[in-house]
Formats: sequence, C-alpha cells, structure tokens
Amino acid sequence: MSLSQPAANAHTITPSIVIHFISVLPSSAELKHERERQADFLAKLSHDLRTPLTSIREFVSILQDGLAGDLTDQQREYLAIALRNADTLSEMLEHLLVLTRIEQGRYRVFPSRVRLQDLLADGAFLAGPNRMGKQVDLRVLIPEAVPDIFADADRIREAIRNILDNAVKYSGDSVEILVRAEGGSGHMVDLSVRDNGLGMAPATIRSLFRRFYRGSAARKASPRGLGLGLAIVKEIVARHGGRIAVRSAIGEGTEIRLSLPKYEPKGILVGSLRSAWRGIADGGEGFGFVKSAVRGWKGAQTPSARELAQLVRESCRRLLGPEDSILANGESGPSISLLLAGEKQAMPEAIRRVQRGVADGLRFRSGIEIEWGSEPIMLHSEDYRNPEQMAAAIRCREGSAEGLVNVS
Amino acid sequence: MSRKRILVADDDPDIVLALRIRLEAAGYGVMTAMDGKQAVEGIRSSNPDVAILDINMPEGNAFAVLDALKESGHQNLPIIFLTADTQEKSQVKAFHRGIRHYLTKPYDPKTLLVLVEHVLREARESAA
Repeated sequence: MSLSQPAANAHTITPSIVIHFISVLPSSAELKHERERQADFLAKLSHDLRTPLTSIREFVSILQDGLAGDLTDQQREYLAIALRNADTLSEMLEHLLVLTRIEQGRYRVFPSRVRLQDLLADGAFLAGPNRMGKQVDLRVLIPEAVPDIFADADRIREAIRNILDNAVKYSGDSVEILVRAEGGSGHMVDLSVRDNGLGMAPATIRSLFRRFYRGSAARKASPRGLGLGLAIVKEIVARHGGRIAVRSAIGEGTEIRLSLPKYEPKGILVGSLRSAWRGIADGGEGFGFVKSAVRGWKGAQTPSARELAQLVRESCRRLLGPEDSILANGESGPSISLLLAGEKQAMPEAIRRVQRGVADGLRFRSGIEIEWGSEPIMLHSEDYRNPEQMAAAIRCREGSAEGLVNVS
Repeated sequence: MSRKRILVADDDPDIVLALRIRLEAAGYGVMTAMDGKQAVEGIRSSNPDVAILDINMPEGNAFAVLDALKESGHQNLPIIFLTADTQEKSQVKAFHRGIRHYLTKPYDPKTLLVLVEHVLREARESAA
C-alpha cells in the first residue's frame, strides 16, 4: 500500500479534539517583561540580603571597636573571623549582582576624562580591599606625565578593587602590592597591579578570566569565593575597548596589566561623527547640528570624517566658544546624543551617576543643570517626530534658554 | 560648641540601634524614627542638623519625607540616604531630588562618619 494514498477501507475521522500548535517562543514583549521581573526580583533579593548583612557587619564592628566594652585577644580574633566572612558574603552578593546586570545588558560604562592620580589617590578606595588580617604594603606610582584616560571611573575602581582583593587573597601573610601607570604606546595607558603572591601556573592563567573559574591552588589558599572577580574585570575592560595582560609564575607573584584608552577628545569626536554623518546620508532628519555645520562645506565630495569633525568643531566654537568638546552618545531609544561644551577637568561624581543611570540626554542635562547651573549644552535628538521627545526637548530649551543652543 | 544632632530613620530596629551606638560614640546627639511619618515629625519638632534616611520605610518612604519637609520649609536640611537599594534608578531619582549623598548598605562606618562630618562642614560654610 502506498503511503501517499488512503486505504480503501480507511474511515474519515472527525476529530473530537483539535490540537492547536502554538508558538512557545516568548514574544519580545514577554521577554522584556520577564527580564524586568527578574531585575525586580534581584533588586528585592539584594535589598533583603543586604539589610541583615549590614547589621551583622556593624555589630561585629561595634564590638571590635570596643564600643560595648573591652575584649580579650581571643574575642577580638573570633570577631575578626566573623567580620571577614561577612565581607566575603558581601563581596559574593555584589559579584552576583554585577554578573546579573551584565547578563541583562544593564551593565554599561559611561566614560569621561579621568585623571589616574585622582582616581587612585582616594585613600578609602585603597583601604577597600579585604585585607583578611594580613600585613599589606600597598604602593601607588602614577607619574604626573601619565596621560588621562577616557573611562568610567567607578567601573575602573571596581576593576582595580577586584584585582587588589585577589592580590591579597592569594598571597602569604605579608603582601606587597605595587599599582603603577605608564603612558604606554599609541592610544592606550597601561595600569598594572603587581603582587608578591603565590603566582599561577600557565594553565590557570589561561582560564583566569572565565566565570566561576577557581584554580585548585586558589581554592586551597582561599576556600570561599565564586570566581567572578576577574571575569568582571574582563567585562569592564572590554567595555572600555581595552586589553588585559597577565604575567605570573608559581612562587613569583602576579602582574595584571590593564590597557585603557587615553583621553583624546579629537578622536572621540571623529568616531562619533561617523555615525552622525551616516544618519544624514541615509536621509535621516536628525543631526541638525551636524547639518548646520556642513552647510558651509564647499568641497565637491562628501566630507571625510576628519573634515566633518573639523567643520563641527568650528561650528561649535562659533556657537559656544570652547576649546574642546565631547560628544557623548545616549543609549535609550529614541537615542539622544548630547554635546557638552566647555568640558570640566573632571566630571563630578554626581554627573557620572546620572549619566550611568539613564544615558538619556534630557535627564543628563537636568543633572548638569543641578550641578553646574546653566552650563552650555547642545542636545540633539534622532527622533523629533516623536511628539513626546519633542515636548521634552522644548521644555528643556525653555528651562535653560541661555545654555541650550540647539535642539534639532 | 553645642553637640550636633542627627535624626536616623530606618524601619530596621537593628540598624537604628547600630547607628545610634556609632554616632553617639562619635559625640553626636541621636534621635530615631522607625518610619517616614515619625521621621517628618521628628525633624519638624527637633530641627536636627542632619538626617540619615533609609529609602524604603512604612508610612512614607524617603521621597515622601522629602515632599513633607519641603512643605514645612525644611528643604535645606542636609540629608544622607542610607539604603540597601542599589538600583541605579533609585540613585538617579534621589539625585534629581537634590540628594547628593547616597550610601548603600552594608556601609563602612568610618565612611559614614566622615560623610556626616563633611555634610555638617558644608552646612556650616553655606550658612556663614
């Protein structure tokens, strides 16, 4: 019997149950909802774990500081153990949260000009590594000649802190650490952390930046830990367009070297304008300030990125009069970029926070207004057909007529 | 010089006690509140020099406390947020409301004391 033809005695079957095959793949809206749900859950979990952890840490610390009476040496020692474990728990929680943010695409970097001398001069930051009761000799060598970097200072601090934690964790009782910076070659600045710790075998070095990886020597030296610290360092450096190199040998300590981009305002402007120019070439309606800048272009052909950058810089100088400008790209959709003129030496902490949190030109501008008053700022939106965005942009212009020179 | 007074508001009694011990040991006078309503009442009646507020509290979170303080003309009171809420959106919201000092739990007690001192110095300088 041919399979393609029904048998002569075949019955016509009227189905009593109809099964519908439906797609089990979640829609993008469902995925978004699920991600938001996870984020909310993690935020709640984090909050609920942090609160008791704070109490444990603080009361142990109160006892250690003698605020509840004198202690014997043995009591002091036991409290140090309790505090060390609370710190480890706190670190694990922090690393898990960072990893989750990375997975959800919510871990972003917002670079600005960073002076390494300032970044590493913060005493509290350098005292930060969990010293685990060890004698730590930490030296920092950042020559004045070392150029500034273009980085998210908070993220780089986080990376250095993770490396310092490891340096202390995987060393003997007396730890020597040298943090130093060098100009490096080309467009990068090298920042290295060298310790006199246990060192690593080549096989360990190869897997060092893998998530949840802990070499056998590491597990022996410090049984607790998730193996996420250096994986996070890798993510941070990668998001800055940087590189990591490791030099280590068993018994000879370890050096971890981060190569981070130099602060080069011209390069940043050129890089960002390429995409701006593509917006115009593709018939986009946005990028008004770029359009107005190229109106004066007399060349027969499309300007090169370099020529375009020069035009825009001249246009900015005419409008705003600064020597330097930074173009920072927003990430939210519709994406908003903003041009900051008269850039300050170091962007205040608060501004970076706003920048990191929202990556939205309008909110960022409002943050700047709070911090700096009417700092000249130019905003442009890629989507001014969106009435909500336009209304916000107009409100923004009205709010700071002096400072805002153009809303495209 | 008179002893500076700090209002601490947190719905966790352990945290309130820990902060009280730590701040009193550093020479400050400490008032406490366990929810947003008590925090507002405490600030209005006692005019502290600094307030340390948890964000998530019953009877009005820290943002509701800020609203109430604005209504009663206490908007210039120096405020430190001390919270387990590490979400960026909360930090941004706080910043937009003019909160410049946002510490997250678990906090380093030494950092907290330095911050309190700094906030008091700032307030003194701006009043001069």
